[in-house]
Amino acid sequence: MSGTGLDSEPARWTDAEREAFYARRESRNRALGLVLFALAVLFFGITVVRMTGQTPGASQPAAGAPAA
Amino acid sequence: MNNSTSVQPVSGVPAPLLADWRDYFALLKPRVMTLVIFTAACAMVAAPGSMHPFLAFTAILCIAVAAGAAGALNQWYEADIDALMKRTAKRPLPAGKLAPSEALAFGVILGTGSVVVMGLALNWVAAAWLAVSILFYVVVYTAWLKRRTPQNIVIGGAAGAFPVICGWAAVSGDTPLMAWILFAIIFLWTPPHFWALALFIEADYAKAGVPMLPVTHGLAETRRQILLYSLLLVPVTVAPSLLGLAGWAYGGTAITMGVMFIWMAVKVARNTAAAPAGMAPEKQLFKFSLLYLAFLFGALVSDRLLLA
Repeated sequence: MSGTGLDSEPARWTDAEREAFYARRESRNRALGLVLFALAVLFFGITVVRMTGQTPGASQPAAGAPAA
Repeated sequence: MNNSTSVQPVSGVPAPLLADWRDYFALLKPRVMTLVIFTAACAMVAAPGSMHPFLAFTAILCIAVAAGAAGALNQWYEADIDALMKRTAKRPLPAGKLAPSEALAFGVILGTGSVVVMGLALNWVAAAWLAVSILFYVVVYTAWLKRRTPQNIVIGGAAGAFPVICGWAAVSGDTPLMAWILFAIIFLWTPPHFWALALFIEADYAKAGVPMLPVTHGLAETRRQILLYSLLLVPVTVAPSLLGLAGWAYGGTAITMGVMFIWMAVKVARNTAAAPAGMAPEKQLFKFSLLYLAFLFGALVSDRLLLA
């Protein structure tokens, strides 16, 4: 992404600024990784619950459809 | 549009490079989110019907994320006035830790995602109310009315009350009278709660040019309105028991806490102090109002569990 990648790293950064940038980027990446993992678990859980028919408000199967 | 205020990068480093995950989290207004989660969860317990615990968790998550998205979009739009108030100057946008475009994208993605997941996992009635709650807070309250009317807090109260409707709809798929009574409770509770706060930080709002009631109509009128809304609030809190929608375990709590609430509002109405140092009744009412709502909704849940 323009402006946020290493290719456009400001040339006049001090060591402290560069170190802070890497630390913050790492924290953002870790947080994003956790969020993506949590989303995968969430969607898997929703799928399992809905496919096993544990949703009182869910629509009933059509007439003639095989019973689960 | 008011987000045009340029963010000042710290030490010449572009703003997006300075943010860590805590700045994104702060955009979600986590303290507001706790109240939203609490009231929505209570509404879900009070609503008739049952739900798989995992779906209940999903519904609460969607409501919380939607509230966070609305908070992020609110901060995106209000970065200019946030920079002027001591209470909000350290938020990520006025502090220059995030670019406005990032906050906007963050809010839009979270808001859209929460509505879609609510619709797919729970039902589309709840999803529709969730979308309404975000749009109401961002468009009607933040962008349209907050800077135009001193009744902004009353309108904001409606925005804060929608989560109970979403929670109720997530369980039952509809929004009956009891859901709207809960909505009315939060709607009427908000003005006394926030005006009590606004009284002792009035100078902050005046500096930012936000037409809060203490700024536009003075302290005495604000105190009178606090009492008026408190007198309207308490009968509505008792209504569920009077209408047979809740038991008297809840009703007793509503009456007891309501009498205390009105008593504190009377003390506020009688106070004439103009300086924050003399506003002990206002500070007392502000703190008690948080406890009041927690006890009221807690009693509703206990009542429902006892009846079950």
